[in-house]
Amino acid sequence: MKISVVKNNFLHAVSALSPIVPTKSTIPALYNILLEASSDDGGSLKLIATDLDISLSQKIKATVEQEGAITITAKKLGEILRELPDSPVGIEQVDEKVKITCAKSNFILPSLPRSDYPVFPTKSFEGAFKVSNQLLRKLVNATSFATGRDEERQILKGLLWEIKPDEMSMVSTNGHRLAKMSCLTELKVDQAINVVVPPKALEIVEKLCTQDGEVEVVIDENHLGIREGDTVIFSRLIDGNYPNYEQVIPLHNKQIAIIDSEKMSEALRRMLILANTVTHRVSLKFSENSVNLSVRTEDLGEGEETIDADYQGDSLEIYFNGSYLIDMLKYNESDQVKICMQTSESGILAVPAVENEKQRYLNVIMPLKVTE
Amino acid sequence: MSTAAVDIRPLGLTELVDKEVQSSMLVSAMVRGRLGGTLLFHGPDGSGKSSLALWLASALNCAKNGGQGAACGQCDSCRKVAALGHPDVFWSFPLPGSYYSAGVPDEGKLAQLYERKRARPARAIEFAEKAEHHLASVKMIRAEAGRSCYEGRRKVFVLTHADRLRQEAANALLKLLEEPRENVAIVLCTSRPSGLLPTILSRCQRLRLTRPSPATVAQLLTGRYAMGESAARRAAAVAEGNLSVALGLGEDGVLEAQREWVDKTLAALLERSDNLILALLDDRKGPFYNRGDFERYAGLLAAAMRDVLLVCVTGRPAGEGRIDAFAGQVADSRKLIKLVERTVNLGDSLNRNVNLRLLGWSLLNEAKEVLGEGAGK
Repeated sequence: MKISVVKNNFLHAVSALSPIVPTKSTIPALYNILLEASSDDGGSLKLIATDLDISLSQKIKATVEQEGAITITAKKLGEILRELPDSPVGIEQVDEKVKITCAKSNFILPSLPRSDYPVFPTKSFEGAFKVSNQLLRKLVNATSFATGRDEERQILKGLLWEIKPDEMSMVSTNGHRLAKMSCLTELKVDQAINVVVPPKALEIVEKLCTQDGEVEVVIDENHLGIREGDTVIFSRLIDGNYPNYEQVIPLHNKQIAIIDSEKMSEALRRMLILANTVTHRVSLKFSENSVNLSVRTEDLGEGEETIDADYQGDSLEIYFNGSYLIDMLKYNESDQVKICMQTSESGILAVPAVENEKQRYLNVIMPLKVTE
Repeated sequence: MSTAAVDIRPLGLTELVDKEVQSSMLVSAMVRGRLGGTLLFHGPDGSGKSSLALWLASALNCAKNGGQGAACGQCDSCRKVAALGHPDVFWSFPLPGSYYSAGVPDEGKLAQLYERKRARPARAIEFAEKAEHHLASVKMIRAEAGRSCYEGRRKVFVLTHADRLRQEAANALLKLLEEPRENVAIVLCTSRPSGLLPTILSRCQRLRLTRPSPATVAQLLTGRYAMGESAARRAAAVAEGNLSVALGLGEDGVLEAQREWVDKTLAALLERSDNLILALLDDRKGPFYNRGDFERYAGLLAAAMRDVLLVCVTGRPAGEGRIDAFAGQVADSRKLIKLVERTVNLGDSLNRNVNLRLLGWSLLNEAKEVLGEGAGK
């Protein structure tokens, strides 16, 4: 392989790939970036990195003298490129090493053969459906915070992405809370698709695809592929059946409170200062037209605050993990939140007070059981 | 006159020695769709359990056979498995507690161990401390088993020394085995199946392996490892066909050094001198401060005690001074038989968190009791 590339383009691509490269791995090839030079389309260089969960490729223009593929240590390549002057960078394979030249600088780096590198998923984007970047970002933001962290329940570490011809939803739950956002949109899919995706993959998409536009999405039984221009991301899917979350969404709620989101969030933050650092327990007492928030933790002290609420139901006291409520309020786009309850021991449903026809957002939060 | 160059090409991780029967059984099961999700390869140390497990992983993911035959050994997928670099093949082995940080195996330290194994595939990884499969390792396996394959057809998890699963790790593994997945194969390798939970054993397809003959190992040592013929024969015989041990003994001076320690032991025993025995145990250059050295020393001591037993039974001298002298002073043959049994099965004790010097002291005292009262006087 022998090519020449514009330094800044090369550095930009290597920097985009660097977060994917693992810092520690039992597979040495993963420390490397795979470079594939091709004379097609007037000459291009494809850079590939993977941590086996997520694989990312970027394509840049290159003057290709000789086609080929090599792998180079990502860390050292990035460090060298950052220090090079603004001149074309030459890359040449010399036996089992790589020679990098720029202006008067020459570097020789060790290389591993392409065959040692994991195979980049080769799913074609023919037949892919398109999704707006903005919509994808919104769905990921509004739901990824509620994913589980428990190694024992891998499926809950992922985001359930439900794709229908006229609607797209994302759901996440850790067993104690659930977040779901659905948006009406037209998608070119023949049938409903449900996949469980690691949130890290979608967060990387969110970072890389910052411009408003559309990304192409393709899904097979093992991978989710997303392409925007010359950037391609493949993520492995999480195997298994996602729990039937719909059965935990409380439907027949008699007690309904409408509260100002900002005021509630501020009050909760104040209460959390004195809350137990593990359970974050906060008590919410609903009574006519008000909610009393209180916290009492041995050794730390106690606090209480009452905020206005539109509530006409029975008096009700429920204990919650306060940080769950704050997370829910953060992504509730409406100024007011509607909290629907049944009893002090059943989960609550929180939705924006003002409904949006094109976008539905809901959170279910289970109360804390208090044994005193 | 030109001499033929010696092909010094150490045995690869997926290369099999004397495993034609077992490999063809596995291929046949694959072809008929009868290969289970959990397999148990059992047999003595050095019988090639891990190699066969990794070979099976190659075969299941081989790019040329379509998952329906023996591994070609040539395609990228097979090469990656042999280099422990396949993204869908996971090799797990017992680790000391110091290899875990914040509850998860330290990837940096693991990478170094993998590097060592790649450099010397036939050699066992030895630790000075007690090594076990911790819960964190099994949790990682469970997490990985829940993900789809990266480039292969089937994810394969190879657990060596599966009898060294801690209780909580074994229970966690059991949960995984209770919910088998189509694209996951788990191969448990152990020399001590009785050390596994019955509930795990009942879920395994078993395959028994035996060590290759010492002659086959000697041939490998001379051909692939360029060892001298007589040294290879001696190392293979002492190691009883265990290639890893034979290679350890074949290293420059190792066999001689351990023989010297066995000689010193016999001398101390013949003297019935507690002081000499204690001096042996206290010597930091001796075998009582390192598990690997102790294992090799115990192997040679077992061989010496067997020779003594042979002399006692046949009445024909071995022609080796200390062996014959020892045999001449044996007062209780039953105790000698027990001692031989104990030295042969010392591996089990070494797998536990045992103090090597205490183990040595108890072993040598037992050996002392084999001799009559008059010895050394």
